[in-house]
Amino acid sequence: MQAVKVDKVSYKYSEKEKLAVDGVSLEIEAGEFVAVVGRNASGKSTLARMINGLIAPLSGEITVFGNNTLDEKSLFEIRKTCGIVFQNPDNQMVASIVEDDVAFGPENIGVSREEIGKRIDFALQATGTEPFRTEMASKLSGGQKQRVAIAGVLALKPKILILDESTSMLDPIGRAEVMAVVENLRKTENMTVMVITHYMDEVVGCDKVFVMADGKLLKTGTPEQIFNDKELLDEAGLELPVPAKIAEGLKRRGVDVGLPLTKEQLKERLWKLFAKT
Amino acid sequence: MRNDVAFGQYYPANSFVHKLDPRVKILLLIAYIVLIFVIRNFLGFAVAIALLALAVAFSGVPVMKVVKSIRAILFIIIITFIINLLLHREEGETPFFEWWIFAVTPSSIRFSLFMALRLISLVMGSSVLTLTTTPVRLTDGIESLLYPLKLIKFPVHELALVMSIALRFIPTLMEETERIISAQKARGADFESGNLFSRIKSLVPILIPLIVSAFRRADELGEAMESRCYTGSKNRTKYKKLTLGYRDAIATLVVAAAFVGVIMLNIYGVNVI
Ligand SMILES: Nc1ncnc2c1ncn2[C@@H]1O[C@H](COP(=O)(O)OP(=O)(O)O)[C@@H](O)[C@H]1O
Ligand SMILES: [Mg+2]
Repeated sequence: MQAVKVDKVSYKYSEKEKLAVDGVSLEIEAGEFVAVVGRNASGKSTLARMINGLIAPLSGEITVFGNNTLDEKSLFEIRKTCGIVFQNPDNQMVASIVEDDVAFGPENIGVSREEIGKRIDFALQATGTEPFRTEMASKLSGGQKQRVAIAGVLALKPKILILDESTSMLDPIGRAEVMAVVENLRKTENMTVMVITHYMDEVVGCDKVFVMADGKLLKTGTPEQIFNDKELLDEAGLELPVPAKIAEGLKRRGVDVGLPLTKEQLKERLWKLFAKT
Repeated sequence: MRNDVAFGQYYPANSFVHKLDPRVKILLLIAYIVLIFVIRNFLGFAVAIALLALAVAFSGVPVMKVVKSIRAILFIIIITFIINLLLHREEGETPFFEWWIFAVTPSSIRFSLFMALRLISLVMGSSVLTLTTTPVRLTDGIESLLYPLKLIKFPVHELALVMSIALRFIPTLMEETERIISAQKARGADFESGNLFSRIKSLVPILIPLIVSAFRRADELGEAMESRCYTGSKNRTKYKKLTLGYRDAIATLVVAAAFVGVIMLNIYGVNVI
């Protein structure tokens, strides 16, 4: 089943400016894990905003589980189906207390009190934030806050989760916490996930990677295809994941382990090489 | 972190006072404030302070947290005390001390102590409310109390939401202020010396980035709220319902008793201190 279909979509913020998103077409299947990468100002957030219906495309159209974002009447449905977690956890919380904030979404869509309670239980459990249920969110760490922000989105029972650089303000521990939550949601809820990120290590486990530059979609491919395309990496200003960088360093010293994308792959290949010699 | 700097920030607990309905707490606080302003003798203050002590005892909040709430306005209390002490004067009094327009008289001592006690009781009483009520419950309470204003199209829901968001952002903005101050200090800015004018001028490099960032935050928050299906008060439900219980009846009775006590003391206790 198709989760998102973006069809020749363009957008600009004002008349004078150039296109922020320029003729992008892409498709995301339900249950898929996709990444959007590219330099700052390449149009990633604009694309995410359009998928959520926060802004309407200038031309082209987007459907989310069959609902067109241009159709005012289905906007509510689209926002329920597709949740966005933003960059700064401090700027997406409405209430001071964790459970009050998580309740905000379900309150907005007018579900019953019992149902809101159930949704809070579910969302806190899925993000491992139950211990903070009645705490002040301001006292939590960055990673904990961002997990609460995810819980706030999950309480709307979305089928798609978009993380727009949601780990970029976090320390490595917080980043790992958030990514573990996302991984778990994919496994247990079969959630469709789209991560927008500058951390290539968050990209390697994806099914598909969309590479953007100057508002255009440069290439769609598997992580292997993307990271093996040197020209593309240069053009879109992308780095290699850390294990691949290490492998490159080794290669310069005459040790060829190919291009491993994960720690495990790197370890495995080093072992093989080691066993041979 | 300066966690206790914000006056009476919510203190999570599960006490009698925490469980009171926020509307009742707000109304009782108003009653208490009226009470401390009708008091006419020190015995009346004994009643008010006993009432406050009772509230603190049943709130599960450490006494020091409530006492510390005075710190925020300590300066104001001291200034008003001194002004009242030196300027208040009733006719035909012999001052203990006199100089130019200033004089300390029996009535000025009494009056300035009264005002100081009033301010202290006021702040501590209000902090019991904010320490035991989450911002959402507080603003839900206000929203519910102001509900009749909806009839004249007053945006009650929006006002409550604005208040709750303001409360939510106090700790965030305080943290940010601290960060900006230490960044400016690291660049050699000086906030502690100089005359009043240069001190005020030195606040500009703190305020400007703070305001700029507040606008950015507001922008992002609005977007996040919209993406979480916020469309205003229509068809909105509430997770926490406000319900009156036996506790609210008890608390109301206690405050009413204190009120009657103070009025009796006002009428019959004129000759006591
Ligand atoms: N709210 C906005 N108002 C005006 N222009 C914007 C706004 N947000 C983004 N832009 C512009 O749109 C382009 C794409 O930005 P954005 O989608 O945020 O990119 P990315 O998320 O990849 O960094 C940039 O040139 C940026 O300056
Ligand atoms: Mg962005």
